[in-house]
Amino acid sequence: MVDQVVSSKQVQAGFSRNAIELLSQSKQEPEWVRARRLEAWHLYEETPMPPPTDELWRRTPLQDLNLASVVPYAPPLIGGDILRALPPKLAHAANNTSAGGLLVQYNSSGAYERLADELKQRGVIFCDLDSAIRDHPALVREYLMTRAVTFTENRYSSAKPAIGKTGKHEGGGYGDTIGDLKFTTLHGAFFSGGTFLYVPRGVVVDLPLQSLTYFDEPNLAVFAHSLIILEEGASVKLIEEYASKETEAQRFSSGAVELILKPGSSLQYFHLQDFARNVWHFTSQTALLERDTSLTWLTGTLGSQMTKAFLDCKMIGTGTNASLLGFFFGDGQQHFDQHTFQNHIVGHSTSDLLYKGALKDKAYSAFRGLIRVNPEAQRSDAYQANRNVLLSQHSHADSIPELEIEANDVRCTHGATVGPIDPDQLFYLMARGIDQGEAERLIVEGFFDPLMQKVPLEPVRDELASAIRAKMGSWKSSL
Amino acid sequence: MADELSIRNLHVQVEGKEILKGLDLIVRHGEVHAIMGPNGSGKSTLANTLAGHPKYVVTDGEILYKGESVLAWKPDERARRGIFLAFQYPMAIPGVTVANFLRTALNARRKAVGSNGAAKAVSIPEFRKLMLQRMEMLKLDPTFAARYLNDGFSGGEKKRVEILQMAVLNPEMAILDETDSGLDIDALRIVSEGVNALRGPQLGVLLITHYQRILNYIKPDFVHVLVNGKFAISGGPELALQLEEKGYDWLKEISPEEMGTGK
Repeated sequence: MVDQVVSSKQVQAGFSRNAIELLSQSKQEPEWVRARRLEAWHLYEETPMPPPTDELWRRTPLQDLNLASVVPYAPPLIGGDILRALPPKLAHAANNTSAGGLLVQYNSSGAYERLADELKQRGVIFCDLDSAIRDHPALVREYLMTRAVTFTENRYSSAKPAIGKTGKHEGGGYGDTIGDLKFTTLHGAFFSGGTFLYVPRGVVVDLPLQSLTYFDEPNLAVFAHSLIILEEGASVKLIEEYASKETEAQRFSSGAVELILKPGSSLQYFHLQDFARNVWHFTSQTALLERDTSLTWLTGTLGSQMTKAFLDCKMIGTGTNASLLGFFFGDGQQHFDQHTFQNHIVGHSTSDLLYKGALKDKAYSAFRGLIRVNPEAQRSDAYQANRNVLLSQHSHADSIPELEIEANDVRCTHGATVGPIDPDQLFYLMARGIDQGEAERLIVEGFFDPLMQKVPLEPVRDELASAIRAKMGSWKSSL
Repeated sequence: MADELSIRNLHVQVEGKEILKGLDLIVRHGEVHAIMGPNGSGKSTLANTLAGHPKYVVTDGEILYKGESVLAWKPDERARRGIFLAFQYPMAIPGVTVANFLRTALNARRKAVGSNGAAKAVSIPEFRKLMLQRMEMLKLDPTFAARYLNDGFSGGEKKRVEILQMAVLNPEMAILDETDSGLDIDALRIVSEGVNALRGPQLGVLLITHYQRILNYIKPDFVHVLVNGKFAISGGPELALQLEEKGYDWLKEISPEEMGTGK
């Protein structure tokens, strides 16, 4: 690990240029990293906080977000066995031999890494981002926030969806939206720890790799960054899990995920977030698909107080096939606001999206799915479905498909449903002696099951199933 | 307390419309009663009412099972006490496997049957053995256990899985709602043999059907004909053959005095 010990006293609350200098210094980073952080900070300062009137932010007001009180960086763990310190829901990873490799990020830094020798020998690199900057600077410098999640471009300001949920022209598009720029610039200034995965040309990794991010430091802001690069013909599966300790004070997380797929490569990426209920979580994720690539991209959202997610699937090569999957389950006062972008830049490509959510208590979800097909992107197939089950009268879901189709030879469908559990399904199960709570649990678990089955590690699937069961358990239906 | 289902002067409304207009019927354990009748006569309403579907409102009369009123019992309680409905249109429950569903249901039933309500959950090996044995009886491929319940099943498969559920849950009063509809002759035979294998002194059966065909395989002890929400006539197995020959229309002309009132 490259980190030196920084005493907590040196890390002041709040974000500043000085804090970046201290962070970069403590990590003994090369000058180009420091310069890039400062460039991002400069843009951050120039970018206003998205106002409630911003088209992409009106469902998620930010007035309760308190950035002044959070600490941008925590000193690394010195000694101790992080695998023993993991919370129960991540403990399965410690003894899991069916994963080809394991990374653990604890607070702001990498704390554990393991990769099968056979994969090391074949040139696979799997480490935290700080180590990658030190050991593989050329790779990181080429890809880190330069092509996928960048902080210099506002990809949403140019998007003008023509058709809203009413099927009518809404006009105006997103207008002067700030998009995710405020948070990608902040992330670019303070990223720390994170996952770096590089799979060389032609290397097929059979066993799934696993990466955990856990934080327990009070008031900490985490900036986990995942940079995944697959060279031509490479193939890999990566499961990332995020969790944090329950504490009183509001906490902040701003993550970024970059998935870079060179021609003919194949990636299965699983992003499973179960932060504690005091976390405000922002995430920007971009996949860059060159020709003949295949991507399965699943996000699971169970935790946090608030999650604001921007996922951009950029199909820049022909013959690409992207499957975008998502599940979410909100309870209490959880608030999830997710934007997906099926971005067909060239033609002869397929994107197929399915997001499924359940909401109980007073939970809220907004799903906004944009399909954009460029004029040049003939022969694009784009499908989108968002299914929401409301388990209480006070839960609410907004589902907004948006289409911006500029080519004429395309196949495109979208569909959204929001409603309670089907009473006939419920009756059917109850007519077999299963009580209402159990029947509802079965139906909701079944609703998510096809997505869960995609996750290639059984202990992770089991953990997700018990998390969903726990969410169902505390609830008594009002039906 | 008699081992019987007793229906007295049953009046049922669906969405404000009266469908059943005063039914009387007693089904004892060990007996098979066929309920026949034209479309829209109220056959499925009777089935759903007995199972406790919330859409079917009993406005008058009584349903007693072993001497207790079932009307206040929710569908799950009725089922745990041994009343089983084989659905005319079984619901698909995507994501829930046949095995997981059946084991959950069997545990619920056993919990209720067990002495003093003590939970006696079925072990997984014991359950698998039971399920596979019953599947074999119904000529269902064992891979059905891992499939999502009724999801993408053909009409015939759904009906066989209904009888599979009956065979695993071992009810005491089974209502079969048009189990024969949509079955080809082979499937009809398999399903009927399954039901016959379960017949015995501990099981009462209410066999609801539009056609006489299934009664060639499952011989009823009694036949009742439902017309316009009332029993028009009751009799023995020969009544079914008569209906096969004459259809239902002649019943609409029978005078009230000639009408049967069930048993």
